[in-house]
Amino acid sequence: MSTTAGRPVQEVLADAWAVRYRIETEACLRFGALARRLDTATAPRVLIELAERASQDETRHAAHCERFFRALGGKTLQGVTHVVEYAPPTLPEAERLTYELVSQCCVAETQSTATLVTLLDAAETPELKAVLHELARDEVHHSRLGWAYLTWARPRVDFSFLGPLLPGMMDGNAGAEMFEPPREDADRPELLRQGVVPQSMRRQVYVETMKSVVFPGFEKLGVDTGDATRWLDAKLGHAATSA
Amino acid sequence: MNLKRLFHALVLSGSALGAAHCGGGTDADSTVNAGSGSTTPDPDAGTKLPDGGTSPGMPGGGAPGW
Repeated sequence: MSTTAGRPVQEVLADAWAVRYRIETEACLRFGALARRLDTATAPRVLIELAERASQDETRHAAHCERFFRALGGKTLQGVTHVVEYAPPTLPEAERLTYELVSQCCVAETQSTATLVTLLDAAETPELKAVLHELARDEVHHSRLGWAYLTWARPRVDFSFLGPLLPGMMDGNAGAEMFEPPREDADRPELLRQGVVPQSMRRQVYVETMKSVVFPGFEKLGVDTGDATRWLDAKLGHAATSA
Repeated sequence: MNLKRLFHALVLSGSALGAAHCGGGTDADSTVNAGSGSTTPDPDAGTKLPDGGTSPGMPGGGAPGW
């Protein structure tokens, strides 16, 4: 086991799979709830089926995450069994549903797809490559659900509420460490071929994905990105001064 | 990573899907040759979630990603 700076590599890898296990179990529940809410909102059947299938996909993804976690010697794994809505409760149902789909699909699943594609290019073992490929293939569909929903919802929901809420949504998506100085043990280049994007590279992938995929997608579908762009610029300014 | 291709595969294909099934929009042509992925349900899907978890979520926040 490598024991360079900070924690052993194996521990960093196991922690990453544990976090992913939580993300996947949470997403499973969220997509299940979204499928029911899309049905109630009389959304097209294809969107409901995409959400139902995504919920099933995430259960399978969680099983992969658990397998890698155990193979790395991980012992205690905690999944998510209940979820609380991310949307502000003061919004009407149509806007809350929009918020949830944008958060889960347009932002989180798009970001995850970009991360998985990055990892897939570098994976060193056939087993890891196969799993990353399977997950990336599924995440493409999960992301598309959000963009498909926005297209359907555009004539039905006024998206002007969404722009000012994007910074909070993105802050939750990015997590606490994204714009902080990279921890030495989480920034080792060798992590990449073992299935974890080094922390400084993770920020780069995140920023590029937001600027080149998510923000242009929002603009195309009538969601204002002014606040989100200012939020991202401020975060990058903070990161530059903290480095 | 080819971000332009990712934009096509996710945003434009998703938008075209929405337009095709929901009416409105003319994006279908712009997604030609974007990645399609599999649409076959996975036979392993449906494993029961573990017991003893937690409840994330905070109003105004956002879902985590990889």
